[in-house]
Amino acid sequence: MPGMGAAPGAGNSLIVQTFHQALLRQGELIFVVLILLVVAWNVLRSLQYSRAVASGERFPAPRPATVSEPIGRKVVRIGFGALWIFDGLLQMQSAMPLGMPSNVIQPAAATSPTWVQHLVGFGVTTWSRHPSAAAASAVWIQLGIGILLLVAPRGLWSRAAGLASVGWGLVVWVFGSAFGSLFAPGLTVLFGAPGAVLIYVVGGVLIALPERAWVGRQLGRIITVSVGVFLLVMAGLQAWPGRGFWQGGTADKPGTLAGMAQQMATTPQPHALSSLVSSFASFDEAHGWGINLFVVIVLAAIGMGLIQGRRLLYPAVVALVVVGVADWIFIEDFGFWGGTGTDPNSMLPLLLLTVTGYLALVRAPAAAVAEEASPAATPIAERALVEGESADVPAAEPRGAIEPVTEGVGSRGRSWWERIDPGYAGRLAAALGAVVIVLVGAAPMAAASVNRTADPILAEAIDGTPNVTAGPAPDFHLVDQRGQPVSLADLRGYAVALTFLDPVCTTDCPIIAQEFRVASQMLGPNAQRAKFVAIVANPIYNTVSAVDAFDRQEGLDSQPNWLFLTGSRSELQSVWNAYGIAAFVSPAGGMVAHSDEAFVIDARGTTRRVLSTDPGPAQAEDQSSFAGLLASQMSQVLHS
Amino acid sequence: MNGRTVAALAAAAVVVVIVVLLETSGTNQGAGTGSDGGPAPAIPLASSVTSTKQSSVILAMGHLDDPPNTFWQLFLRPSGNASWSLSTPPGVADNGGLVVAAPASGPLTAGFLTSADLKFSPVAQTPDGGSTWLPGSLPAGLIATPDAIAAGAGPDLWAIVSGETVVASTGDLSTWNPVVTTHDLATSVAGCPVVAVTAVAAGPAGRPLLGASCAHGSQIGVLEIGSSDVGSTVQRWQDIGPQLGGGDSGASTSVLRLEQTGDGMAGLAEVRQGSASSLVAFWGAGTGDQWSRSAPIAVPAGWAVEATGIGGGGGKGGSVVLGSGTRRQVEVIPGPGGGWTAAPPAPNGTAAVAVIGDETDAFVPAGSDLSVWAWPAGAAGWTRTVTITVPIQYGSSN
Repeated sequence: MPGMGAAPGAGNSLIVQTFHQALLRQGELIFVVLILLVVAWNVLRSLQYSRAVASGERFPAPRPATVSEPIGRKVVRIGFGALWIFDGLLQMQSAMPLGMPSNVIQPAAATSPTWVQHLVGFGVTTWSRHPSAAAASAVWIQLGIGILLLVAPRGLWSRAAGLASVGWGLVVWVFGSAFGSLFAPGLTVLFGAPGAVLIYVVGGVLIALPERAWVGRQLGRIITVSVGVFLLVMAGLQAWPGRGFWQGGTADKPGTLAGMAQQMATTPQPHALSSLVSSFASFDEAHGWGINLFVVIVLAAIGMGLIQGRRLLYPAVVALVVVGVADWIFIEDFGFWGGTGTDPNSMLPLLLLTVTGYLALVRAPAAAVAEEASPAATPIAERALVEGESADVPAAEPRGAIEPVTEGVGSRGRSWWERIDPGYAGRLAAALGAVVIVLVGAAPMAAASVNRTADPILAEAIDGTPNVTAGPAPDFHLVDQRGQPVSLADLRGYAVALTFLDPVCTTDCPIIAQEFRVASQMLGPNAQRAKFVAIVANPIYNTVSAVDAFDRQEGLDSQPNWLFLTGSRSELQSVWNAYGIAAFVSPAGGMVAHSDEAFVIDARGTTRRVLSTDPGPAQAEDQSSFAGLLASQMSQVLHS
Repeated sequence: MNGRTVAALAAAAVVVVIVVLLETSGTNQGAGTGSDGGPAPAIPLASSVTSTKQSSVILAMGHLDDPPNTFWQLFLRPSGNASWSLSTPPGVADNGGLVVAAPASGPLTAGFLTSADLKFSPVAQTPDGGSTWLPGSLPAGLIATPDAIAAGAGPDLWAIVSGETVVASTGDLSTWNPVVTTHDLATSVAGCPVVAVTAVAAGPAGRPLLGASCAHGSQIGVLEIGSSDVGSTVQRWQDIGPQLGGGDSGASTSVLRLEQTGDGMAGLAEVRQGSASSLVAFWGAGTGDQWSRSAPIAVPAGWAVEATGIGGGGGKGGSVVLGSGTRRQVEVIPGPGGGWTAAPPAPNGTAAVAVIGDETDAFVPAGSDLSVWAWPAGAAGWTRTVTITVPIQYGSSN
């Protein structure tokens, strides 16, 4: 019918159900793997216990003194681990599959340069084609990274977790947040610049550094000075005239800051919180100049304090925490409300990074930690790294050497499973489990990124599930685009996809025709056993020349299994009646209105499926999805 | 302040400047939309033709700021009848525009411009003033100019389609053959470096006359096939249009309208000299180069041509609607030898005007309603005569 169908809403029940089913299936797989890991760990402990009892040794063996993980590293690791887990849980929101592109990604890129939009378009396209798979993948990848950061405190596993944080963070920063809107106008730290996930990337880099980087004050100084420079930049941008921050508001509309706060207040959230944010917006409208002056001074002062260090460092950090929390509440509005919030915005991770730098500066470890073991190193050396043993562990230990630490009687001649520390084995099992979680998410995402055919579920969300029928298809006697007579009986032996198109339609019929063409391509060699047929649905423009013109317009004139049939007005009307198709002329320049339906007819002339062909919002992924749905229905009929 | 602090301040300052420069350089604009407009000047589609048989008016109605909800309408007023009636051909969405060939004798032929995913132009022909319509189609899309389609006294039809090709039909609305292209004309017509073909009309000899946009020259671009080349496989076109006045020699010109009248041709042309623009009406037999030309009327700065009309007066009249914002000014000319007369200030939003005899009708659309205002010759002002409600099919093309 003229008047395209609406896009499925973010809460479309079919998509949400598919999303939840994907999460459930993947969750079951993860659960099984975790169970196996737990069992394996328990078996290991049991064997070690049995051996210890048999040899009269203590179990577990006493652990030597350890060197603690640098406090700065510990804070950043646990902090970002918790944030990734929180973000992963946010990705479970029901609106994520359909809401992520339209409510999160595209708005972030809307005011960015064209090249940014093209880059983001790749992410939008991939997500939009496979919304349930993409949303589920994001859940597991972020949960897995977070868990890995928490359960792998030291060594290569921990550094790998940092690298994973960097990698996934960059993917999200580029394709999901349009570089944190860095290239869009109105850049300000108050709204989330430079993008929360970029700060996650920085945190990941810090975690991925060798532990010796945390020795001394250098790293802490780098972090605090970097944050200080960043705040100075933000203060300068905040102070720059003409960017809208000095105006609280005019009679017609609020200023930049007040407008942002008002917009955040309208996000679905507890009323008390929205009132709080709305009150701040009103206050800023009335006192915008003063508030901006305060912000500029505070950002600049904190930035200078962080750069200069010494006695100014602690007050600067405290001030940043206070101001940051206020911004997080009153302007960023916690960042995660509304049903498609992906993270708590940038202020929390920025504060975490700053505190990390402060701790790394003022509580830097003095002693060197052991050289990192190679992946092939003895579990005992690895245990030393995990537990942070003192420099008693020989730093010159050759990489890959399997030399047991003298810790107990009878250690020589034992297998690795006899010597491995059960605590370490447990953490290793947990780390493996976390990696499995990440892979359960990453594999479908990778597959989705290369699969150019959208999930058929999108078409079903717009048009509903195809109806299964079993009745003789009404015959017809018409002529094709070359003027040759064609009847349905002539098509016996072929699976037929039949629809009704207006040859002079301006909107949905060309789209439907292309979907039919693509569906034929998807059938591959089976396309030779299929016919894709359209019948004219316009009582006025029913000439052979009109259908021929349409075929040439759509590139269907050279498709061998395509037929566009027409006839006299009375002949067409009888076919429309037989198939339940409505077609009527609209006045005053309107398009002919007609039903959008397709029929899948088997080789014996029996109608097996009835599908709605309403193209919905005519997005490319919707068209791809319908083509896939039609091709799958045709394939089922061909093989039945 | 130590060196580290100074370095940090300097780095911060550099970054601030870079960010501000990027913001103000316009690189943050969203995806731009390139224009695929050809070299032809924009000619308003709103138009009218008055012949001895009928008057026809074409204008846009609906939500004019929303292309899928803008619908072009055709109104007809048979000769001797005082009422305008909606006669938009059915069966095709006309969001892209509508043009007609309304000869004094023979059927009226309408063409639909392309829009959205429709890339060729359907046509429709009515032998009975809009009661019944016969369908056809062009091989490509019509160009957006009021006289993009023309009908001769017999079954012959001509049309200008995208790719700026002139095509012809001998009566079959679906069979069209190429006649000439802008490229061919540009390389062969002396005296008029043809930038675009802007109008087609049935010439008196049964051959088409083309209105053209000329980059410069001393005459208006009205082109016909050389008589010696008729029927030849090699056809040379020549500019037979009226000479420009001395002060306009060398100016660029565009034919806005070109119509066959009872005993010849009538047309409107825009003459551009630098930033100045003026309009001239011209009349002739349509053969040879015997033309008469009106005095030019200037198009004031900040004003634009909103609509044009041919006919009225003695049958060879002309009319234009100039617009600036919502203000409208109507100028009419009765025919050869007459001068331009400014009508009283037209109603705000006047979209088209038609001259029937001594009366000038102005058409003011507002959504689905069309108000018709009349200005009889000599009257002090405009009087609303009727409001027509048109059943606009909002949302049908979304």
